[in-house]
Order: sequence, then C-alpha cells, then structure tokens
Amino acid sequence: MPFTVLMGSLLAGLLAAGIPVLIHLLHRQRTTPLQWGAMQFLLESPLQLKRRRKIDHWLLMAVRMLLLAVLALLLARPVGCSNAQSRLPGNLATDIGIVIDHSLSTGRREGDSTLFAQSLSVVDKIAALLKPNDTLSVVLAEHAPQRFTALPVAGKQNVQKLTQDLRQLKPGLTDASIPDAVQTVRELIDRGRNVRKLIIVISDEQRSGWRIDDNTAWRRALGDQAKRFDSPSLFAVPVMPRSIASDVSVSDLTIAPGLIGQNHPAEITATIVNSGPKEMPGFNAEFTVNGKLIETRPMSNLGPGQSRTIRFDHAFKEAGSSWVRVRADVTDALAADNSATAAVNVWQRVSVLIIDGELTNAGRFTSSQFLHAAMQPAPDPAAEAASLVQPTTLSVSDALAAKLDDYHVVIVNDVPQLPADVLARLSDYARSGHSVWFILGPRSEPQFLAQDVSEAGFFTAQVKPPQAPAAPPPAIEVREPAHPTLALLSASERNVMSGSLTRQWWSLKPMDSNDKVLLATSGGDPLIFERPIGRNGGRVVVWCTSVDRQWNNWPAMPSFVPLVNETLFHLASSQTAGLENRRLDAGQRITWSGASSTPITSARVIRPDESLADIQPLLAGGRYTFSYSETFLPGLYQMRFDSTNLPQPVFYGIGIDRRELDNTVLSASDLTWLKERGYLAGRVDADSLATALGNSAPGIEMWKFLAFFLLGMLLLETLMTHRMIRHQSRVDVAGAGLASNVAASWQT
Amino acid sequence: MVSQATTPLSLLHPAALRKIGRMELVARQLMDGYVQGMHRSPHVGFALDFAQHRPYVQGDDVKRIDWRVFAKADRYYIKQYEVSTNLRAHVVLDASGSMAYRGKNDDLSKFRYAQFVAACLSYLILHQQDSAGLVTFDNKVREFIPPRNSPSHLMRILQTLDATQPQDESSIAPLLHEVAERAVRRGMVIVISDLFDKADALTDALHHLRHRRHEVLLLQVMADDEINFPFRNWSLFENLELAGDRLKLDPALMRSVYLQNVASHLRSIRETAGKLNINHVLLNTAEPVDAALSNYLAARMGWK
Repeated sequence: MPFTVLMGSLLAGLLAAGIPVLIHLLHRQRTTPLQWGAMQFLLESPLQLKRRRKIDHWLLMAVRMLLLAVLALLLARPVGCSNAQSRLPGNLATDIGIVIDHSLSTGRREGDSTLFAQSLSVVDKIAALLKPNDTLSVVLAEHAPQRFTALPVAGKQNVQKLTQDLRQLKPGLTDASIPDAVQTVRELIDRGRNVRKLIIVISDEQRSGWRIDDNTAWRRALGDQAKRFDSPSLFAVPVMPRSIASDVSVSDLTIAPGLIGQNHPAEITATIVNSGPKEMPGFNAEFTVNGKLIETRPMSNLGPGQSRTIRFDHAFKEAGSSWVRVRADVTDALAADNSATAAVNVWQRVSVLIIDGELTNAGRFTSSQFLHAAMQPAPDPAAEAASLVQPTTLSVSDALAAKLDDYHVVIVNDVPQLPADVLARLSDYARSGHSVWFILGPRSEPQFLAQDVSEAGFFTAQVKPPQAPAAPPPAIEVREPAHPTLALLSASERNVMSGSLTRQWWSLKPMDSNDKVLLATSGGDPLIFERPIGRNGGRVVVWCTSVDRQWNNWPAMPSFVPLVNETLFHLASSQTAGLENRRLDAGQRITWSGASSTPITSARVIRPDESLADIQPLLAGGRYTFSYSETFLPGLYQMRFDSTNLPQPVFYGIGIDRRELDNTVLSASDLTWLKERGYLAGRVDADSLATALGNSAPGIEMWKFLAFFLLGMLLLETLMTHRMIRHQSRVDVAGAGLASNVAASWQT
Repeated sequence: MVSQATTPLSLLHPAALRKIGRMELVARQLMDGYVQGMHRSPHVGFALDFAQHRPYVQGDDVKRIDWRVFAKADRYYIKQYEVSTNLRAHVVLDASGSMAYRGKNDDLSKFRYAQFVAACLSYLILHQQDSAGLVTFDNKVREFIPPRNSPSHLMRILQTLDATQPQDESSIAPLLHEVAERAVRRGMVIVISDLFDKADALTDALHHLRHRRHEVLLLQVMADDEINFPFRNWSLFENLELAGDRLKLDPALMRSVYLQNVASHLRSIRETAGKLNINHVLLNTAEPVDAALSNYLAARMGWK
C-alpha cells in the first residue's frame, strides 16, 4: 500500500538512524594503545564465541538504528492511501483552501445563472461536507488575487456567513492568474491549525488563466517541490458551460483623426463580433458620448463568427476630455463585453508660431504662405477665427519678444540663423515637452545648421550645402509609412509623395541613434527626420527642403495639406502627453502630464466600479506627471485634480483584457502537463465532489501501528542491551576466584 | 597483625613502597618490624644451641620465659637458641616482559611488586639463619644464585634483584624443571610470577618440583586491571613480551570471555596446587605486600 506522510520535513529525522553507526565508528577511531601482558587470555577466546558476540552487537546496533528510523517516521505522521484521490481529506481534519475563478469569463451565463454563481454552489457543497475541525479559506482569482477570508474560517456558523458573503459578489471583470491565487491561498492555509492541507480550484478552466507552461509561476505557487509529501494537494473543479451560447462583443473602438478639434468632425469606429455558434438576430447599436445617447443604429442579423465594423460621425461640442461608448443592445452569454469605451481629448485650438527667415515683418512672409494656408484653409476671416489651428508668423527679430509657452508648436522656417537668446529659449521650450519644427531652405546658413542647433541640442548632423538643382529630381522613399505624420496618407496604398518633385535640399546626415528618417531621397539623403528632445516628450521634426516652391513642388501637391496638418497634430500631441489616451488595454498605464504653472498636489482616480485611488504627481522638467497602472478593470476611468483651475475630469477608456475573450479551455495535454509536474493532484467533477470528498478511501493514519512497533523495538532493545550488559558483567570476579586469596590463605 | 598489614598506608602498602624505593632499606625496615610481632613461632622445633636472652614482649609464649634469669634479675627474659639452618629456599622470580605491566591506577608494576616480595622473603629467610638463593628468568635462566646463609649473601641477592629488568617472552614451565634439576637438596621453592604460561606445562613442572620433595610456594602476581579487566573503549593491546603483536578490539565485548579464560587458568593452577599440596597465593598489586609474607610464614609453619 503506498503511503504518504503529513509532515514530510520531519523525515529528515531518518538521518538519526545513522547515529549508532557514527558512535561506533567514532569509538573505533579513538583506540587507545595499551601495553598488555596477559595477551594469552585475549587470544585464547573461542572464535565462535567472539563471532556470536559480534553478531549480537551488530544486531543490537541494527535494532537501535531501526528504532530511531521508526521514531522519525512516526513523527512524520505517515498515512496509508490507495490512490491519489484518497489524498482528499477522508477522516482527517483538513485546512481547505478554495480558489474561486473571479475572472471576466466566469460572468458567462449558463441558463439562469452565471458560471460564477455555479462556482459559489460548489463552495456551498464543500461547506456542507466540512467536518468540525476543518477550516475554510477563500481566495478570489482576479488579476491580483483577493483574499476573501483574512484567516482560515472554522465553525459552522462562520462558514455559513462566509458563503452568504460570497453570494453578494458579482462576476469579476478582470483577467485571472490561477497560480498567483493558489500561492495566496497556500499562504493562507499555512496559517491553519491542521497538518493536512488541500486546495480546490473552482474555475471555468480558461487556458489563459491557468498559465500553462509557466513553470516559474507554478513553482512559486506550490513551492519548489510540488511533489513533496507535505505540499498541499491541489484539485480542480471545472465549472464549464454545457452549451456555448451566442456572444456578441464590441471591440477595436477607434476615434480619428489623431487630433480632434472642438466642433470638428470626428470618426468613431467599432467592430462588433459574434463569437457564438448561433446567429444573432437584428439588434441596436448605441452610441453614447459623455453618457448621453447620441445615436441608436439598427443592425441586421449577425451570423456566427461574423464581424461588422460600425462607424459614427460626431463633432464634439466641448473642448477637453470626453468619452464615447459603443454598446450592442443584446442579451447574450457574456454581458461585460457588449460595450467598448474610449476617451478623447478635444482641442479648442492649436496655436502655432512660425518664425520666418525674413529679417523684418515688413515683407509678406512669402516663404511661410503655403504653410499658413495649409494650416488654415479657410476662405474668409470669420472662418479663420473658428479654425482649429491658429498660426502666427513672426520675423526673427520679433521672435525675441514672443512668449513661447503660449504656443503649442513653434516652426522655424527657412531662418539663416537665430539669436543665441532665442535659440536658448527655444531649447528650454522643447525640453519642457513642446515640439519644434525646423524647415530648411535657401536662406539657412551652414554654420547655423552645423553648430548652433547642435549646441542647443536640437539635432547634430553632418551638413553639406545644397547642390545645384538635380535633374531629373530623385524619387522619394517613404521610410516610415506607419508614422503618425504619414499614416493617414500612406493608407491609400500608394506612394504618398508621388508627383512631388524635389530639386534641391540640404544634405544632412543625422548623427544620433534616436533620429528617425521618415522620408528620404533615393540617394539616401533624409528629407524629413524626427528625434525626441529632453525627457518630457518634446520632439524635433526637420524638413530638409523648403516649403516655398523654390526647391520643390510640394506645396502644389494634394498631399501637402494633410502632411502639414498631421505633422502639426503629431507635434502638438507631444505637449499633452497622456491626454490623448483613448482606448487602452487592461493593465496599460494611464498618465497625465501638465505644466507646473498650476500647482497640483494630488489627483484622484475614479475607477469603473466607482472605487477611488489617490495618486501623487511626479514633478520633473517643469511638468507634473500623474500615472496610474491598476487598470485591470475594463471601463471608464476618471482623473480629478485638487486644483480647480485645470479642465477636469480627464477620461480614460480601458478595454477588456483580450486573454479573457479567448475561450480556449485546458486540453488533455495541459492537464497532463500540470499533473506530471505535481501541480495538480486530480480533477474532481462538481457533481461527484460529495462522493469524492466524503466517501473516498480515507488515508489511514499509521502512527498507531508504528507506535506499537516502536514499543516492541524498545522492548527488544532493552532486552538485548540487558543481555549484553549481563554478558559483560556476568563474570563475578570474586566468585570466579579472581579475587586475591590472601585473607583466605592467612585465616586458614 | 593482619589488620595492621591491610591498613591502606602501612609500610607494606604499594604506595608506601614506591616512596621508599631502595631494596635493602625496604627489606630491613619492613621485615624487622614485621618479625618483631610475629616472632613467637619461627624458632620452635629448630633451636638446639643457646644463643642469647632477650626481653619478653607481649605475645611471647610464657613457657619460654627463662625463670632462672627472672629469679636473678626480676625481669622476664626469653631464652633464645642458635638456629641450625636446614632450610634451603630458592626464590624464583619471573622477569619476563609480561611482568612489566603496570595498571593505570597501580603504584607499582607487577615486577617491582614481585621484587619487593622477593627481597622481603630473602631477608626473612636469611634473618632466620636459613639459606636463601635467587633465580631470575624470562625464557631462560638469567641469574642463578645458590642458597647461602652468610649475612653478605643478602646483599648479593638484593643487588641482583635491583639489576634485573623485565624483558622477553616468558617460559615458566621449562624453567621450573630446570630449577628442580639444579636444586639438588630438598628445600623450599618460592615461585614469584604471573604464571602466564600454559596450565598443563605448569602442572608438569610443579609435579617435578614436588617429586624432588621441594616445598613449593606459588606467589602469583597479577595487576588489578588483569583481574578485573575494567577497560571500556576500543583499545590496541600491544604484547609486552612480543614486539609487533597487537590486537585491536572492543574490551567491553571481550570482557566476559577474557575473565572466563583467566578464571579457567587460575582454576587449573589451583587444582594442581591443591593436589600437590602447594600453597598458591594470588597477589593483586593493588594490595599490600604482607600477603606474600603471611603465606610464606604459614607455609613454613605448616599452617597451610
């Protein structure tokens, strides 16, 4: 009969069996030399007698070793069992730890109840089977395991209250890590008073939560030696839907364009997927902005496995942070994934300062006219005032007096050089998180490009003066089609710059590894490149060719306006890092960054479940940064500041963890993997739980047998020792005539 | 007398003997005092010619008081006679290696103890006008001093005793045969040895001695450790008589066997001694020397 022990660590006591041997060897080692005369009496000993004595001694030593070994075994509390299942409690008092899968997937409906509710029924069954000395500990498997019981609960009333409290819970919304929860529950049951430990995991066996192949997590959960005798046995109780119902989910909610202005049209798209096996009959898709229903759009039938992209057009009336939600109004298996939320930052205006290379403002800033027009393509002054982008053009001399912080972006257009003071202010401006756009042209001076801007920290490049007009003009390569400035143009699957002729350009070779070339000539000279500056999200974009049609025909091309505007939006967004967070995945960090001109001491995050979290800002580079990473709960997050001068609240939309939408369950090979490594002792069906727990062949405590055996051994040892001592002292020296017979002789 | 002799720190106790050291001194000092108290007996049956008077001391036989002298001097005098020596005693001392053993708690080695015994007995014998000789041996006779009764003879015996050191393997039985052959006249043979030899051979040798009508006194000297075998720890027993002969064993395991062997050996010696009318005395070196003297006297006076 195989057996296991309840206190495996005490098996180390088996080493004590070596003590008699050790003592023997030590004694033998320490021989003392002795000059001896009566050698003949030692040599005369009958060989057989000597042998018998030796055998007696060896036997006694063996008995003593066995005695110690049995004692160690007894202390380790061996339990005989017939199979793995009988490691279930049987008649032994046990600390039972229950891990309840509280992930989003357990919110699936199965008939009238959810899988989570079924899990609670299993807990009720276990609670009903508890014996008087058993304890119960419950941990909810969520993204971070949640201890539902601070300590192991014992007693019928306490357990009843525990199950009632569990009934108050709603299905979870996060992902779950079963190994992490097992680790937590193991720590909990270790505080229980019983020697025997048992962990039961009630889950829908969603593969992603069980972290298959993650040996590290499981070792951490069950200790390095999961197969050790005293490690708690882990049993899985699957709670699975009997049939797969239809399930509609809304995902991939996106808002375009990248920078959204007040009263400017925005495009909101979402994908609605039917992942169930049945066709979903027609339903409505609801579009909500800031909690207000904007549009309800009827959707036709959605076949199994089908997906449909839905688009809403909307102009945000108010500047600042807003949120949108698209919801499929259906009744399906999982309600939590029927809607998706995203947040958006609506700009009232984007102020742009163009520093033109003309020496005075007497001219008309001809080199900046195309740029100006691209930003504000309005036919009349009234429309100009309503335009999202508000450019201001100044000469270099006027730029000395300009207050740079009033502008979201500064463009340095075809400037021969800038005064040191302006350059220094511009550098500080960029390092505090703003962006600067350099456009090089005929007026730019090599000294300015090669040395001044490098010393100011904008970019460092080997500069070659512009060559004579190239004939024919080289082709233009798009190096980074996915870059935000080019993504909109390259989506049409053609060369965004086709038709653009570039005759002259500054040949710069960027020296920094952070430099990213977006457009280049076929000869390899960069035409547009970008690099970060400072630690606060500031960016520098450099165009190596002018925008006044002298060196190229770019302003005349249709791609010019979107290219300018996308570049501008890209640069402007750097100033408000964090505000453009729209749709984040679960677990992604939400951040907010703002100028330190308005003092902020703390911010409060309101989570989708309306719980609150206070966070403190980090002040660096003249900017406050708030960041919060506990975003495993999908839904709408709000951030509010203690300063009332700031526009608030700021919204963030967090999507559902994609792993939770993956319905793959544990396969046979996964279960084998778990069992082979000793992580899983067995799988018990919810219905047969009572049988398994109550009637399984209970482990038989073997200490009684061992105690009897030990007593017998003790008796034997005593007898043998007594016999040995008697043998050694049996010879009565006087009686054997070994006493001096002086007196006898004399008296006779 | 006996009680005096067994007093722990009497002059006969080994601890005291060790301090005195010099053989002659030991013999004289001890034996003079010793004989004083014992003296009512040795002359009985031997005296023929008057030698001297000496004052009566308590314990003297009243019938031996010279009443004539009492009448003249009004004091009690004992009449002493010149003793005509007719006893020839051979003190046979074993000087083999095994006699060198000295127990941990013993004051004297077996040999030193035996030396004192031999010295005392020689002194006593000569003091009584008997003849004493000395034979020392290991596996062969080392010294053979024939019995004489001249006063200077004692010095020779004592010097020889002093000069003898225990060594070599013992072979007692052949030596006793040799003594039996060489001691032509009937006399007394006092064997002082540990008798570590084969019991059969010893029996033969003793038979030989008795056959020659010698009176034999066997004084077997053994150390306390050899009698009780008190060792507990594993020990390496190195043979004192044979270099390189070693035995590593657990004494606790061997004790009973050893003691049985010793007891069996003793038993056979005693049986032989009993049959041959030989006085056998086992001397434990932890006990006072007077045992040997008492037994000698007992043997001389036929008190066996």
